[in-house]
Amino acid sequence: MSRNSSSFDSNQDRDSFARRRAFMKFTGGCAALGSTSVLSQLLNMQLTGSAYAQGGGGGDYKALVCVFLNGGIDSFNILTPYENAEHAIYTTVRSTVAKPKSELLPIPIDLASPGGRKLGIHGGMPEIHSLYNSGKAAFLANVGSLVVPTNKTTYNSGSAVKPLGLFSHADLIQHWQTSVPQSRSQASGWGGRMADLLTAVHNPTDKISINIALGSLNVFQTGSQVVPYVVSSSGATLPAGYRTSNTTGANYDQIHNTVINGSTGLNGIYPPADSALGALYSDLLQRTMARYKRRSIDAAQTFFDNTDNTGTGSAGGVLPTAISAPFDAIAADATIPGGVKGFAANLSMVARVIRARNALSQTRQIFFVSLGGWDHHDNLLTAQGSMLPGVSKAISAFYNATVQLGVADQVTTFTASDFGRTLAPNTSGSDHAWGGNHMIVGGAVGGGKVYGNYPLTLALNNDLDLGRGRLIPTTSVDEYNAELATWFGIPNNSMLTDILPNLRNFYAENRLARPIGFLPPI
Amino acid sequence: MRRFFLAFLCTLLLSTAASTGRGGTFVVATDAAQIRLMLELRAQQFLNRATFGAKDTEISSLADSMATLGIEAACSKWIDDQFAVPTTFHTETMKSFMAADGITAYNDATKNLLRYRHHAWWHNAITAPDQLKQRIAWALIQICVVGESGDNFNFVEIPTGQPNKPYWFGMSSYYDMLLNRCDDRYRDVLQDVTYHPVMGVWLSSLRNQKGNPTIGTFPDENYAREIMQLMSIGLNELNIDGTYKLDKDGGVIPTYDNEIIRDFARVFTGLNYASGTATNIFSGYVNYLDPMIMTNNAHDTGSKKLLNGQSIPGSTNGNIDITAALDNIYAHPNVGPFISRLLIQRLVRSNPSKAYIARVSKIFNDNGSGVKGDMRAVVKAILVDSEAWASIRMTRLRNPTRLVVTSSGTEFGKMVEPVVQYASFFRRYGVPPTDTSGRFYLNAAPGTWNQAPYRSPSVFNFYLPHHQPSGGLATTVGSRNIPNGDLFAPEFQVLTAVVANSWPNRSRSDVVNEFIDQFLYTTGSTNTNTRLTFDFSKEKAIAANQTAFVQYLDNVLCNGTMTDDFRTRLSDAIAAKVTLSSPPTANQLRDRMRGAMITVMNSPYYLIRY
Repeated sequence: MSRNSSSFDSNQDRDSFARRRAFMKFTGGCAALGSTSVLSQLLNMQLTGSAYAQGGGGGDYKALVCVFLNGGIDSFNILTPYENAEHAIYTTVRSTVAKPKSELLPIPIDLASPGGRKLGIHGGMPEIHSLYNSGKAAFLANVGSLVVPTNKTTYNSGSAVKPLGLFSHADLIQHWQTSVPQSRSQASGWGGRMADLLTAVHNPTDKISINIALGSLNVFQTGSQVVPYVVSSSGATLPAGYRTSNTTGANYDQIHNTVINGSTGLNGIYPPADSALGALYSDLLQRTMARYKRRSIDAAQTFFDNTDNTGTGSAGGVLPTAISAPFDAIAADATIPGGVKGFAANLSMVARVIRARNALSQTRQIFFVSLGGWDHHDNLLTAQGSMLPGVSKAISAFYNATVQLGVADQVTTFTASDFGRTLAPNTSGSDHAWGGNHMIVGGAVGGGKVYGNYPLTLALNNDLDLGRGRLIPTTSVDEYNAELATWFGIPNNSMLTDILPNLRNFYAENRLARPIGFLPPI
Repeated sequence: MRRFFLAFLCTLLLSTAASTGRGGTFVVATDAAQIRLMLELRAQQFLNRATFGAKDTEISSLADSMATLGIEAACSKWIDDQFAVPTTFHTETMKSFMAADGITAYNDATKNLLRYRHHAWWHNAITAPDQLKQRIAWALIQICVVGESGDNFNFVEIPTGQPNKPYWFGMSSYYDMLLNRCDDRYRDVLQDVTYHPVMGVWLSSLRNQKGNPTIGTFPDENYAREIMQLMSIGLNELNIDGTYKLDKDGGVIPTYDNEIIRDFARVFTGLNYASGTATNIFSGYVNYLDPMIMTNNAHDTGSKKLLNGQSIPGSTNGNIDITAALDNIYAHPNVGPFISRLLIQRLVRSNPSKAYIARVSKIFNDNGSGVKGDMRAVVKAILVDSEAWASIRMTRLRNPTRLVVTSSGTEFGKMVEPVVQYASFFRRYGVPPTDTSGRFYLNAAPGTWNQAPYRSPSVFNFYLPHHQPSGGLATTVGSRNIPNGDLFAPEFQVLTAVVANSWPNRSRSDVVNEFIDQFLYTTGSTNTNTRLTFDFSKEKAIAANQTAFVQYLDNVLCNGTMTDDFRTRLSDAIAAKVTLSSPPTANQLRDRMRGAMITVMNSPYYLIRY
């Protein structure tokens, strides 16, 4: 993989597309395709997209839920050493931010060897502890953005290509989401590139993107064609004042609705059927605008109908108590901060959208839910102590929802963050670093196990330490992503390389075993 | 004389039988009124491109000038006059706002200072007298893109050792650099962009060092790649009219290969913050304002293969290499058609014809005095080109005396950028706020638009020049006038399923409330906002006669491009939904204003501009 490859630069894709069209015009089409070197990655994407479709794709429903913890979570206090000797070193190194053993929930590093090495889960997360012990949650240790496998020698000599902008928030957030950390000019994310491939098969009506974001646009879910459908915990943005009826609502909105819906004997100016559009607009820009407007209104309406308490669609209406009760309890819990409550409410909306999967005709869905406030340069222990219990409850409530919906084995939730933080503290917090620990929850997950390499020692100046306890990741985000992508149905061939361009530095094409193994074998 | 230029821009049909089904009809009392209306619409069409939105006073004044000088000559003069107006720089605007608010510490953590960057942008878009320069800078920052998500660009702090150079001023400094260069040569733009530390950070040319073969390191290629791909020549060899040059097999010809990128990457080595020493590329304090300096011992002094088959021997003075490399890029024949097309897309329309591109490129290549890339000449060539006017056709008819106004179709329009739409809305309807002595304190993103000043998500801007929305455009081959046959609509890339609904919600809310509240800062748990109000009194005053009212909105909001059919639908709906008592009540007139404005501002006639 060459440095700064811009295979996915959308601009180049477009240019190449035009180039390809020009090429095909002049050579008479596909027969000559193999002989040219100007073919772009986009063309490959399109060919593999149809290859994906031809391969049958399809299959049962699956969903990925990315929980992005903005700010760089201090995850060596979420998953800590527990063995006495290891914990003593941890205590020395972390000093003012160390968690005493009494505030940790012990777990065997592998449930299958209960007598083996133990680690500790933050004591504020009993629900995660319980999911781990029931085999529904796993951890991945010391994972971070890498371009190539990197150690202290290759890092210091400069011979390992490094992610740009270590260890800044903006860069590392971008890198985790694009999976192309050697570039700042990467416009698409790996979830978006997956969706580009999957849409034709798994979202045939394409009314609403299979990439659904709670809150705001993000790079992770942005592809060449696919952009995330952004909703809030209360649902999609409907046009204010819009009604399908022209005779209800404020009289001024009725004026608008009459014109856009049409009235007796007249098509609306955003007519639902393409056939009628031509009559109104010979101008393609005007026609496209009308079409986008109508599609967006209909999409929001469909979404609302199937996800709102008052929605009248097949998946609309009040959630069953078995699903809503744990979320309601979080909303009512005065000890949980508002931001974390909002996170829980977002996960509750994800459950609603999963419930609406058939109504939306979607057999794959990728969700993005973020929660900020983890940039704990100070006050780390108190702040995490206040935030993590709600996070633990929310993830557990969401897992329960997938069980109630009968899709627990088909929904995998995983955490991500900008970066890990320094082991050595500031006065009461920690600084930006690199590798960190993450969790994966779901019925398909080989839970009760810590994957990757949890460092045998957190002592400063260890083999991974770049100083102050900045650990070089021992598992790359690419491997983490590839594990999820292959489970999601992307075959381990050039399609996967298109989605994760650096992956082959870590994981060979056509290898049958998954890169990490926390999801069931292929 | 006058008749001559009018005939050029306006078909005079003496027949009464002409039917223009797609047009909108303006019945007027006299021939003089007919001509005046035509001039005003032309003035408005021009000002919507050359400024952040036409205002009545400026339309009237330009129409007067057109009546005297002729349409093109009046616009040429207007452009000359605009270039003579002193530049309104954003850093100065921002500082003056803070001074007015009693803020002297540029790292005050209590007043959300970052907002002043956005206040300054919006205030200048809405009020700055040098509108043309402001509009060109807005076009340039969409070509030489930076975004405020760059490392520490939003850090409201002052770097150690650099007391007057807050981190967060960097973005405004970059914007001011573009404003400063918007009337110079495009070569000057490239020069200053290359040396600006914000670009250095954004595309990692800052502290980029020569490679080290013994340990296998190479210079960073980020800036080398993007300056060629996005800011100067593009990926494929172009003819002067924007069509691709083709090889003997009919294939396109790449402008460069990876070897050339590698060598340009070697050119852009050795740059450091201005406060650095001459010999240590890692010395010095962060400085996001002053041009980067060269650290020669970190510069790759070897020979480099550049474009156009040229090489440079490599210099021990890195600045000499960079100058030679920028000159080399600038000499490439693609620069004219590539940059001309992008500027036309930003200012006039999405799909300029081959002839239009060629005419502008010719001026780009030589302004008549042998100067390449004279921005004043290029901008003028773009804005007064005959095809710029041709986006809207005006037909003068008699019996009754009337003007029929028609947009010219797909290849002549562009979707209005949300940010430009909102600035134009404020320029027409915004009331200078009294609590801030007329300063428009808007936030970066008053609406959910996927577009906001300084918030480009990546070097690829808010949208790509080659974006094709789903639907008809992607499957339609353009007319023979269109280079390479492909039709594009870049701005549609921001129009996601979410924005298509949230954008109109902004308009509806503004029209219904007649104000928008903008957040300023938080003290404890108390938010301080500013209220910006809108004045729709004129609209309300004429809403009783729905036909005349809709014709008025067609004029001022759609530049006459509504069809008679649409107008009838709207005026019928107004009459049906808000009936009037005698005399009409204020609420009735208000509701008519609201319904009509919401409808028009959501219609393709308002959102697609010609």
